[in-house]
Amino acid sequence: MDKQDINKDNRYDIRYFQENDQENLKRLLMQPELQKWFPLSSEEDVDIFIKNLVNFSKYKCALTAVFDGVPVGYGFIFLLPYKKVAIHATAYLLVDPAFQKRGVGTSLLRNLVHLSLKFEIVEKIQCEIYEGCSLLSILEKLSFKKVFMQNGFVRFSNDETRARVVFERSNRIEV
Amino acid sequence: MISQLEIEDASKIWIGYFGKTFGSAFTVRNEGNIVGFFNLYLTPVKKLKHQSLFSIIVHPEMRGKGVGKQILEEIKVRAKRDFAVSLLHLEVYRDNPARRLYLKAGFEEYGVHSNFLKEEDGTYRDKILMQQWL
Repeated sequence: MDKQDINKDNRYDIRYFQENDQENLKRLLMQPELQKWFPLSSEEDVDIFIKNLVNFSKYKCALTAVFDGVPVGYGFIFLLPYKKVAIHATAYLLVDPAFQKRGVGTSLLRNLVHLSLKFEIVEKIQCEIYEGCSLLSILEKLSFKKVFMQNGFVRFSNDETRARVVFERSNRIEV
Repeated sequence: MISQLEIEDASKIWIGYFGKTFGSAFTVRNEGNIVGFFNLYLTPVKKLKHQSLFSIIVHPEMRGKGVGKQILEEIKVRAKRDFAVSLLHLEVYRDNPARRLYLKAGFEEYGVHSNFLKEEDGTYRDKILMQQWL
């Protein structure tokens, strides 16, 4: 597939997540290539994740990137429930491997930042990735700064652990 | 937490760890009186099972009397023995005197989340992140 920027293609769009996106989302989350960057590793994990997401999507905090009407990526922001820490929103991104490196992740994250601006209390948006994740370049492009790194946080096998790295960006910065 | 609703929500989450699924929320008593609580926020997710965030609460009247130290020792034993946790971690706000207790108990700082919490008067507080391998 041509790796040109998908944002220039009028078949590409970003809309709010719909409940009928669940099946496609599950298909993506079950892919081993994508599971490398998420804590999920079983169908049960994936089902719980999607259930939580669907509940949260009612707050209009979830987006779906579509190409020709077919979902190719997802972006979510989770809001914290306690007022003192509600200044943070946490972003999650997921792009179909067949559509990666075409600007889907960047456009989704940019839209998530815009979405977070709708919630006046939110001052910062943060994103947690595992070391080695290709999302890093997108975070840097959109002015996210590293906050901390925790080694050994996720364990893929007895011999392989990876760090989680948390980034954040201020909503005062133009996107 | 600043409202009754938030306190009720946090209590509900805490109580959720008492049940059969995790069984990782504990109450500490001394001569029948409650002197503290601790909780391991365990996860059923396989890739994250080896690590756990935890919280402790010591009754204000029992602070400075070694209860916190004892709880930390107990958490380390139970985490490893009962839940196969090998990485314990915690979050503490910068001005919290408990930070010294954690350092003395062998926890190391691995990061600081600046301006994590915003007080009602508009001032911000940092969150200190600490951990210990068991």
